[in-house]
Amino acid sequence: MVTPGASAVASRLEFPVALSPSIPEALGTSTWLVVAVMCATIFGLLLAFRRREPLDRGWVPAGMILAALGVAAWVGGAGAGWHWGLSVTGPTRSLLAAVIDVDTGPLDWGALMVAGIPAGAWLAARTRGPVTWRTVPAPVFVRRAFGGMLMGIGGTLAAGCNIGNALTGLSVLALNSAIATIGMAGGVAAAVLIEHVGRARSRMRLAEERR
Amino acid sequence: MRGLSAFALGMTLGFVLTRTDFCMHSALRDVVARRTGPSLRIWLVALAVQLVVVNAIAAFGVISVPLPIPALAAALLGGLAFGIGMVLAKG
Repeated sequence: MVTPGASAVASRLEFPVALSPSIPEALGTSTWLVVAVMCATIFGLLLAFRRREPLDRGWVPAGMILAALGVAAWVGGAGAGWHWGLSVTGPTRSLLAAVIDVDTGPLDWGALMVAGIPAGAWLAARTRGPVTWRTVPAPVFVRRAFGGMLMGIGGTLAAGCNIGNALTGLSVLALNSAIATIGMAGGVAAAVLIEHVGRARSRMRLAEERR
Repeated sequence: MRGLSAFALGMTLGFVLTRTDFCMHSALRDVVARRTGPSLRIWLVALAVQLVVVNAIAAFGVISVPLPIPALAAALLGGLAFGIGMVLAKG
């Protein structure tokens, strides 16, 4: 949509260059071609996975149920002005805003959906056995709280979390969600790498102490 | 009424996520480590089904899909921070 010369200037002046919001538009192809290519790729991957490591954990129905809930969120939310399927980050903000600032208006549809998640999780756990509160050692608590903070900041910047972007956004071919998903995979890779280095270091230290 | 349907849907989601042990953290970790765990597979199945169904009902005008204008730096950096946070928080 932008001429090459103009986009070069735009990229120097401001960061988001005028990118097209949808992947097929950005690629200059049709929606259904992109959907077909992505579905074929996923199908091929899953077949290869199954050949490599047979699992019978019911992942096919699980994926289908998750997708059905995603579609239900798109359809059910549409009437209430909610146009983004399953999502957690945005609605969480609406939930928090309702607590902090009453002027932000009533809770949106997504906020009530998010409020239901812990209730359902509790029910799933409770019907299997007793549910108890657990505490974690202080260092783990700090680590988790810091991680949660990064998730809040990151999710807000990227306009969505792993559900809102990597599942909902990708399925409607939103370019922003594709970029965010790549960023997330990069973040996980970086953190896992740091974790491995840290573990290797502490193993070395232990070995030295034993010597 | 609509609020109730939203809460019920969220509750079903929470129930299903807990029972299936689906976790985006595990799924993305699998991608990084080239493993093929159940969470990664559940994600891919859900993604494929939604790609077809959501785009179809959008094409028929059942739902409207307003896409956000991409913000390259924010999406990339936000995703990066979120990814690191996910590993730290184990979520």
